[in-house]
Formats: sequence, C-alpha cells, structure tokens
Amino acid sequence: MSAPLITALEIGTTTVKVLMGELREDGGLMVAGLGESESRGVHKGEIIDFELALNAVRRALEEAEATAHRAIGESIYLAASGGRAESRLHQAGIPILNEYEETGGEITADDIDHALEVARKVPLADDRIRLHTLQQTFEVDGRGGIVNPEGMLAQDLKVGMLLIHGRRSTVENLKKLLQAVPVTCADAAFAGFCSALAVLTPEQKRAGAVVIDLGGGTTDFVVYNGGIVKLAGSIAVGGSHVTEDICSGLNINRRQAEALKKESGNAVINAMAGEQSFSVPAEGGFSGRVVRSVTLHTIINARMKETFRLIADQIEDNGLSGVLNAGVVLTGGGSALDGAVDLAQQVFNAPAQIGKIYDCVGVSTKKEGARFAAVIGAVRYAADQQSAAPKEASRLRQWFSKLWGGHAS
Amino acid sequence: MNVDTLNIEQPSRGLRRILVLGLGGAGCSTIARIAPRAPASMEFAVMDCDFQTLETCAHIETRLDAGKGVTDGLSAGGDMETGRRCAEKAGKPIDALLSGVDLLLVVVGLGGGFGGGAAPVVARMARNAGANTIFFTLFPFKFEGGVVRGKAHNSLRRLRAYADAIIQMPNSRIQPDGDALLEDSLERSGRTLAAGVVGLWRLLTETGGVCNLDFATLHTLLRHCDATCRFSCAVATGDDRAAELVEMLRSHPLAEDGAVFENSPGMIVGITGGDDLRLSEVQQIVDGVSPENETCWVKMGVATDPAFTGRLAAIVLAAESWKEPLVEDSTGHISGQGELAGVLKPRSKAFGGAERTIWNGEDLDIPTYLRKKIKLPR
Repeated sequence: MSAPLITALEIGTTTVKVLMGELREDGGLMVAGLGESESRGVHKGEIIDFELALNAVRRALEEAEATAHRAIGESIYLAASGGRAESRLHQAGIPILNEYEETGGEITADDIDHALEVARKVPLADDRIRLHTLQQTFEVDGRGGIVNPEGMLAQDLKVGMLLIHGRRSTVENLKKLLQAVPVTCADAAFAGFCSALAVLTPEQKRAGAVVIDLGGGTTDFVVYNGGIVKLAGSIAVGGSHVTEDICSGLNINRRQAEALKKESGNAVINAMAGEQSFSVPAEGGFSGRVVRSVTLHTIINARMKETFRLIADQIEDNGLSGVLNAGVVLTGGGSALDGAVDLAQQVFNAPAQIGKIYDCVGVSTKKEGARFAAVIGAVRYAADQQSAAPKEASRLRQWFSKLWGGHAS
Repeated sequence: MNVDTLNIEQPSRGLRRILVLGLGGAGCSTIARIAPRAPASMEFAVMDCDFQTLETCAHIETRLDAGKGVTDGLSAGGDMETGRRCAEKAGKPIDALLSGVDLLLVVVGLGGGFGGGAAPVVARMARNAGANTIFFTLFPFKFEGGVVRGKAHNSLRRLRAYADAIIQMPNSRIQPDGDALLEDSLERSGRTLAAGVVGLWRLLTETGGVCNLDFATLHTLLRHCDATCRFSCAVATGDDRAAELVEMLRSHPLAEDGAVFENSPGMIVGITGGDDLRLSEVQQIVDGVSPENETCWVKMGVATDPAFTGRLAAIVLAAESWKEPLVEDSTGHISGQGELAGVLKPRSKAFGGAERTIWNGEDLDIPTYLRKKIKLPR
C-alpha cells in the first residue's frame, strides 16, 4: 500500500489524543485514524503515575489503529506540552571576508550556512532540552529584517535563532513512556508550536498572531510575526485549575464542578443576561445547593483573565503587543468554554477566534478541530521533517524547512 | 571620608556600593526628608509612577518615572497590579540603576498601589542583578482599614520571596504619643527611618579602624534572617552615656522594650564613638543588648571618629529567626517559575501531587478569586 501513515500523540492532562494521517501531494492533510482516551496519571503535563498513564496511551493507540484499519508505523511523533517550555532568542554573527581575506565582501551561500551553524549553537542548562531551533531574519551590517542575504555586499552577517526549550526530565519521561508501550519516539515537538502549525494560515503568520492552546493542565502559546515564531512559552495552568477553583468556590465535588463548567460555564460575566440558577444535587458527601450563574462566571472569569493576562504580559515585555494584527487564535479543550473568545478579545485588545484547522480532511474540523489542533500540527510537522531530511532537495526548499523549524534533539 | 574612597573602582579596599532607593509615595517622601541631612557621599534614588511625587523629590539626583506608558504621570491609584506592571515595564532603567550596586536599601510604604506592587519586582531584579536588599517597609495606620492592611500583607508575602531582609515598621508604632501635629508625626517617622538608613550606611562605610564590621558580616546576617529583621539605633552624650544608650536602644519603637533582643538568634551591633571611647563602654553596650543565652550569634563592630568625641552612637540589627539560607548565593538566582516551589508547600493535593505552579512568586494553584480578593456574589 502507500507510504506509512504518520502517527502523532499528545499526552494531555485530561485526554490522550492519537492521530494518524498523511500529507497529500498538494500539501493538504488527510486524517486516517483518530484515537482518544481519558488521561490518567498525568497532571500539568507531567507524568504522576507511570502505569495509569501507560494504559491510557495504549487505549488511545488501539482506538486509532481500529479507526484507521492500519497498524501504527514504527515510530510516532510526540507533541509535548508542559515541561514549562520557554523560548529564548539567541543572535550570532560572522564577519564577511572577500577572496583576499579582507573584511567586506559578497555574502555567499557558505557564509549563510556558517552563520546559521554558529547561531544554532545556543548554550542551554543541563536540565533543559531543546525542542525547536527556529531561524529569525538576517541582519546585514546592522540592518535587520532581511530574508535572504545571498549575494549582498556586507561586512558582517548576523542571524537570530529562537530556541524553544522544555524541562529535560518531563520530555524524557514522556519518551520513556512510549518505549514502554512499546513504540519508538521519532521526535518531540512543542505542543503549542504544533497547534500553530495546524491553525494558522501563512497570511496570519505574516500579519502576526498569538495561538493559545488552552489545555487541561497547561496553557501553551506561540507568537508569530512576519511569518516567524517570535515568542513561545507554557504556563502550568489549565482547565483543571478552573475546575478546582469552582470546587473550592462553590463547595461542590470535582465531578459536579467539571459538569457545571462544561454546561453552564462562561468566561465573561454578562450582567445583561438573565439571572440563572442551577441546582447541584447532594453527592459524595457534599450537600446539595443552588448556584447562581453570576457566582460561577465570576470564578471562571478571574482564572481565565489571569491566565490570558500572564501571556499578554509576556508578549508586552517582549515588545510584541503591537504586532498581533491577525489577533488571538484559541485552540485546545479550553477554547470550547463559552466566552473564552470574548475574554481573549478584551485582554489582548485584538480580534480573537477559535482556531480552524486549515487544509485538512477526515476530521470534523468545525466541531472537533480546535481540540485536535496539537496532534494535527504534529503530523504536519513530522511530514515536513520527513520530506526535508532524506531527499537532497533544492537549496530553497532546505532553507524553507529551516525556517519552519526542526532539528530537535 | 570623602567621595573618592567610595569609588567602586577600588574593590581591593573592600568598599561596596550602597544605593538608597525610595519606592512609591511614602518611600519618595521619606527619601526627600532624609537626603538633605545625609552624609554627602550617600547615593539616593527615587522611583514612582506619579509625576507629582517625583516633583517633590526634585533635589534627588536620580529620579525614575516608572509610569511611562502605563499611568502616564498619574499614580497607581491604589491598585497593586498597576504598580507591578509599571515596574515590570521600567525593567531596563531599573536594571541600569542596579548595575554595580552591592547593597540596595529600599524604603517603601506597603498597602498602596505603586509601592506594594513594585517592591517585589524591584527585589527580584536586584536579586537577579546580584545586589543584596534590605527593605524598610512602612505599614499603614490602623485607621486605614482592613483592605489596605490586607494589601500590605499580601505584598509583604511576595516581597519575602525575593528580599534578603525586611524591616517592618508599623506607622502607628513610630508615632509620638498624644496629639502631635501631622508634620511632626511625619517628621518623626521620617527621622526614625533616616536614623536606621544612615546608621546602617555608616556602619558599612565608616567603620575604619578598631574593630571592623564589613559587608560580609551583614551578608551573613541577611542570609540567615529569613527575610525579617528588626533594627534599633540611638545616640547618647554625657557621663553615663553607655547606660543611657542601652536604655535608648531598648526603648526604640521597633525594639519592643528590648523583647526583640532577648529572643534574637543573631545580631549585629555597630558602635561609633570618639577618641574618648572606653572598652568598658563597649562591653556595657554589647552586654546590654545581647541576649543572655549563649546561642545568639553576636557580631560587633567599633569605629572611632574624632567627630564623635563626647558622643556615642549605636545601631543594632537583630534577626527574628535564624534559618539555613534558602537561596544559594553563589547563583543568587530565582527565576519566575518553579524554583520557589520548594520554599512553599512543595506539592499540591488538588493536582494529583504535581509540582506547584509558581509564577513570579505567586502560587497559581490557589484559586484566582482568593488571591485577587474577588468577592463572589452569593
């Protein structure tokens, strides 16, 4: 039959998601299999109970194989959230020499390769692991924003690299879990970055956008501008925090809080909407009570606003607040919360929307798309890695693949 | 001692650069009161987001307007979040201000907007820049109400994560009794603070000679005092000056009639006298303030200065508790997230025992509405 399907896996705090798919000739993504299981033994993106997590992963993989009617390939790609991912910009430069070894000359392809190589060598603490090294634009003699400097006359050439790194132990434990399944982990990619690959169109990447993946235990974000990733990060706060807040605020048990959040939760407090009350029956040692909608929404609003604010602050600190022309794109399970879009719009002062998977068939993109963004993006990322690596492709293509990121170690 | 000897270019002499910084309304006005009377070589700086406050400090050389782009010359309006944002935004100028500073003395009033919000940020930046910090924190009056007091305690808690030492000064305790004029009251609290700040500065820069007290000694106290520290200082003259000095030290508003000294596990006593200083006097003072048990770590420093002939001055810094240092000072670095986890409750129950989420010193596992004190409509 055709080439093996690419399998991507995301071990989240609430669900484990597996997606099998392939990239068609025209660049579109075809989803063949989909598996999902309730996650156990994972909190804030970190494994708490190895055995429980292993079972959840096995269940999801089996389900995916069943829907695809195919066995999973030898290796799978991991979309890692959690691990407190951070990004760091590293800039490096080389002097340009002419044929007489004097400074000043024409920038050759070798010079560009050399500069990229120097810039890639970013020092990293021992407890951190590199997930992506993403190239920024070139700077020629102090003039920035240059996409392809080949053939230009210059004295020196600089290039920036954005390094996305996570905690080594978190990523390695996830890989170890896969070994126990047993499958080989081909590569680990940052879940926030994967989500962005799935939902952002090239136009949005150019105009500037922030993708926020509202997960169960973590919130990941990636900021694009000018077609390049400018900032990325992860905060270990997610939907489970909202549920816990509701538990403690309303004195109800966790299951009820989760149900209440899903059915009646709203991230904005709407004074105009009619006052509603929900009765929560007594259960599991908690006495029943009547909850006003405004109380529920106040609790959710406080948490969500804070989470968005933390991201907005980081964007502001990095001087990127003015560049979100395409606005905020929400993905992940948390984006299904009513009012999340409106709240994001308020906090970021930019248009907000729920992410739509573009150029993809096989999954109900409208309803389910935002939840599966990370795994869909991971398949896209994997397909790109595979097509770029073995073939001796044209220079331009190689260069584009560098721009897209990769070389995770 | 003249300015030249304070030059940081001469590290071989063991001299260190000390900066006194006023934060927020209360801090700035206190610095404005201290500065004209302080020794000429003392370095002062003030920072606020309120343009009016900064105008009253026109005689301070270094004034930092942190409100640019956030409040635009207005005050933080009592909102700590605004104060915090101002300080975060002014990160670069603050870093520039702190570069090369070894000891940062900060005077700040907690309970307001800018002071309370910006103090933890400044403390964090100072720690990252490798400067030791001592915070002189003014606490609000009782009549200012529970909300303001709550805010003050909230920012104190955040401050503790980053500051090396915090000296708490409840405003009401350092007021004169009875019906004092407002100006006198302010003058009094200003003077108490000034005595502490100047005394500490003198202790570190002018203890030449007899029994030296240096920066490293202070550093030892700061590392162990678990961020809370009391101080007391006094000046006495006359025949019976040593006994009088001890009495004054113990009756200092922050010393609680000497009770603080009795229970202190570690203290530094700095004594400045003239050419006529006697050993018996030194002994009397140290005996008078140090606790009777043998477990207290007492370090004393004695300086003689001809200008103090006939006078005797002393400052006591007493730790309230003694702990192994939380931060290894070789790195001295606490980043925004994660590393504080061991300091607070290490594991959270609700999230399956996962590591707590600490972000900028705040525990995000605690419901937001509790941390932000949002009242839930019932």
